[in-house]
Amino acid sequence: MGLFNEFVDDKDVRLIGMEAVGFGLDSGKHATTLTKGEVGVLHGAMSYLLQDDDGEIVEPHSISAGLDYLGVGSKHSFMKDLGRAEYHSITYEEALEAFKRVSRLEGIIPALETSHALAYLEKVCPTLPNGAKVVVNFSGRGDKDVQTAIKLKL
Amino acid sequence: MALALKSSCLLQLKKPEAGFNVCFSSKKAIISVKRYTPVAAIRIMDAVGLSATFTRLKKEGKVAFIPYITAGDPDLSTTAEALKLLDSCGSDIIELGIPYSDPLADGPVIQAAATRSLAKGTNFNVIIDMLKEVVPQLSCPIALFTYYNPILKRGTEKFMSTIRDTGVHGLVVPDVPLEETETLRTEAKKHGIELVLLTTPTTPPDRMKAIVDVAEGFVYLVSSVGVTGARASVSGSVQSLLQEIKEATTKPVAVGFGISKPEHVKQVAGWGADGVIVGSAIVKVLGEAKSPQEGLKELEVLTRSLKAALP
Repeated sequence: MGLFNEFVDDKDVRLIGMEAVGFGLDSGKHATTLTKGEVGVLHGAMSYLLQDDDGEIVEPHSISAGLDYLGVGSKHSFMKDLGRAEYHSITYEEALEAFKRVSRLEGIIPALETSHALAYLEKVCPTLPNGAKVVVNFSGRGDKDVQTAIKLKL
Repeated sequence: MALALKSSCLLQLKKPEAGFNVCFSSKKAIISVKRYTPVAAIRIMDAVGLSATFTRLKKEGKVAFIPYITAGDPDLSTTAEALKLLDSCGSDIIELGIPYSDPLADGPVIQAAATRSLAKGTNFNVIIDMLKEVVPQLSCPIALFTYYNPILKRGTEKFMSTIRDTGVHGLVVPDVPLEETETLRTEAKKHGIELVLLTTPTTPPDRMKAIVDVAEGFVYLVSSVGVTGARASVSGSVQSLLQEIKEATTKPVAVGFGISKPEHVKQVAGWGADGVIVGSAIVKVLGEAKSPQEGLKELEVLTRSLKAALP
């Protein structure tokens, strides 16, 4: 739950979660359990899963380890069902672009997981009313991700 | 010995009050391996179920031999032959694993078998088609071992009716917690499928009692903490666990996970188990053989030696 936990009961606070598209939602190589997954049971827990028509687990794909899990927390699944939180997806190009910009502008290397959320700012901010406050869960140091970023030809 | 066991089984099955159908079948095996064809010419349309098998064995003072194999490894036609071979070698129940893409209860041998099987395109439908051909040729009941998600995906009711129509008698679902078994149990019972439940060395006594209370067919006692796979020895705590469970229930208890040798089988039977389940050792023999035929030969040798270790 992380950052969401402190705001769940504050109805005027909008909760937005990001998922990694990887190479694209229709490529079959992504990790968007909430966006594209279906209800299933994995590791003894019911949540949204990436699965095929036989109920076999589909290997997720993401450039960041933290977003690369086959399922998703049951609380996130529940909040999606309730409509309390919304979940969107970001491609790795978008995430890497955000990674690069924040590193240059702020001198802070974000984790790749965080970069997915930062990338979404580009989309969501123009839709917000003037004066709206946005809080981003900025995790990690990012130095462990530099090698990945280099390999992906940042 | 296999012939004697076979005759005994047939005589048991011929009790008129049981209402079994017996018919002559002219079905040809897809792959003719005459050596492994069951001795009996009579085909039994419905083998007796899990509980009834244990009841019979108890009267005879015997312990059930329950081998496990993974469907589709090395291939589905070999699985068909293996099922017939295991039956003719005196298996009392056969556990057939449906390969799954995230088998968290299974160790490296069965994981590898599932991965090989899935890579060949094995899925639920082709397994069911194979079973429709093979089950009528078997004298012992089949229990399927599958994870929960494929059942959920297909729909619980549809899943149960499909496997029942195939002639399957039992079901083991290792990743569904007791609290979530109610739907499964209801649908299983409705379709005459015996849902086996598992208890482990770390299961608290109260929970163990709740589990054995609603288990059907038999109680599956996991012998060790962890996943399936051969171990050098069987934990001595199994003996006391067996005792505790038997104090809590009159239902039969079979021990599995980590049993791979005749000595293990004999030891566990001596501790009072009603059945012994052997999986990884058998899966390994079939899956890693140089050829399917060689795998079947090795399977026969291993199976006979395991069965011989039982009273």
